[in-house]
Amino acid sequence: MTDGLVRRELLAACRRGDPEALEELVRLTQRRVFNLALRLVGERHDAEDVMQEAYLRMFRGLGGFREEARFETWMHRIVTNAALNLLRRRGRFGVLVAEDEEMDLPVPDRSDQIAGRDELVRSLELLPAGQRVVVVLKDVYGLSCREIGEELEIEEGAVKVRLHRARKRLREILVLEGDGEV
Amino acid sequence: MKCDEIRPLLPSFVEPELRQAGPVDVHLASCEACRSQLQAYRSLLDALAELRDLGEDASEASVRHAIELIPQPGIGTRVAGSIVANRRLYATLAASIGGAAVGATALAIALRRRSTQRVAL
Repeated sequence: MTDGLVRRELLAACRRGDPEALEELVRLTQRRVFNLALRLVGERHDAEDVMQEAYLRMFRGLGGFREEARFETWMHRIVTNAALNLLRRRGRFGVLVAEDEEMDLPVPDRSDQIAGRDELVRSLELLPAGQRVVVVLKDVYGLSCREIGEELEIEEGAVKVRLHRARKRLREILVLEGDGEV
Repeated sequence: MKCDEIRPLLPSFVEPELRQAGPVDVHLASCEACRSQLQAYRSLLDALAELRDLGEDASEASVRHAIELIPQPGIGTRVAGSIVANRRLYATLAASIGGAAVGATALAIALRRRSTQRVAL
């Protein structure tokens, strides 16, 4: 039986502290962990730091992990917290909680065009950290606005406002990039 | 509602959870331009959702570094055993220190009494 990404048997061995099982866990999850970190912090070097922090917390917390919970959800939460902590340490915390100003950009009507994947990733990196975190957690990883509010320790209504602005700004960036069809 | 009133609402309207139906739906029913914009936002959300399962592997160095963080079994046991094995030594040291402290205090008291006696004389 699997828990999505990780087999239950592997998880049980990890909880017992089996080093080989823990190594397998790292190799199985590193892609997910790294990419979530990268999407949130926007820089590769920072994402690697987040990854190390996240695994350290995972190893420490596995003993208390409740097996009826989904490991992937738990892992996701750890990575997100580690990413947010890094953003705070890097002095970008202010933009996580402050109201963002609207970008005053012309928006040509190219609504029938869809960004290429690389352009989309680059556009995400161009967003202010506060907007990027919200749109990544909501639109890439499918968290609810309530869950995002809990992660960021802000009201659900504030999440919705930030999400609205993030999507709008993302679209503006993509349109200005002048990309073609996917 | 007019297009310039509708367009700012579309980033939220694209999603049922955030949608406030009513005048927007009415406008969209008759405005192809705004429907096209809404579809563009839907496409954006679809593209974002696809990012979840894409991406790249972390560098091998990063992965190895994470593996090095794995706690090794027996280290905790070895530390605990070391503490137990040296408990007698620690007790002996503590007694010695305590004894030395008592001795030093007694000496200080004795010296003070001697000093007092000299003054009295």
